[in-house]
Amino acid sequence: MTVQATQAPNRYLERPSPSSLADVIEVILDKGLVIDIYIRVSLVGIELLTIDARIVVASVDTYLRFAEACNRLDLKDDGSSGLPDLMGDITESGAKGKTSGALEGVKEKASEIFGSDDDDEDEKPPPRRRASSSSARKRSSSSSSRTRKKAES
Amino acid sequence: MPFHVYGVTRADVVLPDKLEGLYDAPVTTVADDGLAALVSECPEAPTARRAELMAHARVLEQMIETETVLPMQFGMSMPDEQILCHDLLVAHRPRLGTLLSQLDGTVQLTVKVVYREDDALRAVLQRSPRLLQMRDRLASIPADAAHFKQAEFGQEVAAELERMGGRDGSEILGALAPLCLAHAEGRLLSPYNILNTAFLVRREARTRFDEAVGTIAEQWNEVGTVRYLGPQPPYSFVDLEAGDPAWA
Repeated sequence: MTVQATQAPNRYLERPSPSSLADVIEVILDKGLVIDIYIRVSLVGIELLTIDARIVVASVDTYLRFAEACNRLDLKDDGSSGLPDLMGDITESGAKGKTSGALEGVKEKASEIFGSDDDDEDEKPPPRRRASSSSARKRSSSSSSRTRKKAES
Repeated sequence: MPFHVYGVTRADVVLPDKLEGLYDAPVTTVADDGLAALVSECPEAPTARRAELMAHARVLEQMIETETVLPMQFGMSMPDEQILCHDLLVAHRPRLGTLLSQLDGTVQLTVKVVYREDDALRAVLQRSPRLLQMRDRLASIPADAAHFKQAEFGQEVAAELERMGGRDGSEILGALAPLCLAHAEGRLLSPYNILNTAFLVRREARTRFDEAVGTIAEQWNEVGTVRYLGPQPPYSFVDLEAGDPAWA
């Protein structure tokens, strides 16, 4: 991205907005003044949630997800897109709806973490979030192992 | 009855009308020699559900609209007024006083920038002829033979995405840093999250900062989304142990 050197002042004025639950968890459980011996509240479940939020990047499954996401892209400027062939391969190898399901799962998870459009999500208590994000992960690994199994047979 | 502690402010603070905290309990102050703790009564074993977490944050966000307040981490509950005065206000008086005057007239504003998956990956491929070629070559190989090659391809895409995110993140930080007193970089929560930074901004500089964030949101609109949070109490800029910061 190139930054334009000249910007009309006042053209884009962004107003900050109040924090969602995900934002709140990120700051108030980690930042702020602490007098250790008086931390008394039970944080069971919440620690798990914050650990779960760290997506592990360095795994074959994650790399395959990046590859799948790239393969889905329709690059209009590029006449030699291999997209249709590849989509055929994926469908034949038995993943079918599962592949897009896994990718949707990743997106769901990202929007949960950043709370961009999650007003409904906010109504649920933290444990629900955790359950839904781990199921997204499960879905993604099961879909890629299914792809592999089918390929071996 | 124990008290849940929200933060520390000056004893002459003016509380908003009907300020309610955890379990809808009214928020009051416990003051000692110029300092005041913002508190509300709470049960012996307070819980940390959504309602309590949000209530803690909302009390502090309401206070920071007009007052300087040092936020406590969630979960501080003290058994009675005497212990609260002694172990918080008296024991840490010099440092709390210093922090209150240093942070006077400032707020925390948090900027999170997140790439949209498809748009960011499209940018990666469009900027790298080699990766684009790799993708199209793999598309013609049968799936059973391409498994590891796909993983390799994905790994290279991930690395390029990280490089692009690093560059864009630094550029955004470089545009905002001159407008704040200090900034604190938070954890990036996904491969698509390229900036998650808290900025300490003077109240009178807020409009300028709002404009700068608006400009950034526009500039990066093609690949990502900017979330702009605040005003928050200075969560990332209160430390009982640290020395005086450079900006003070």
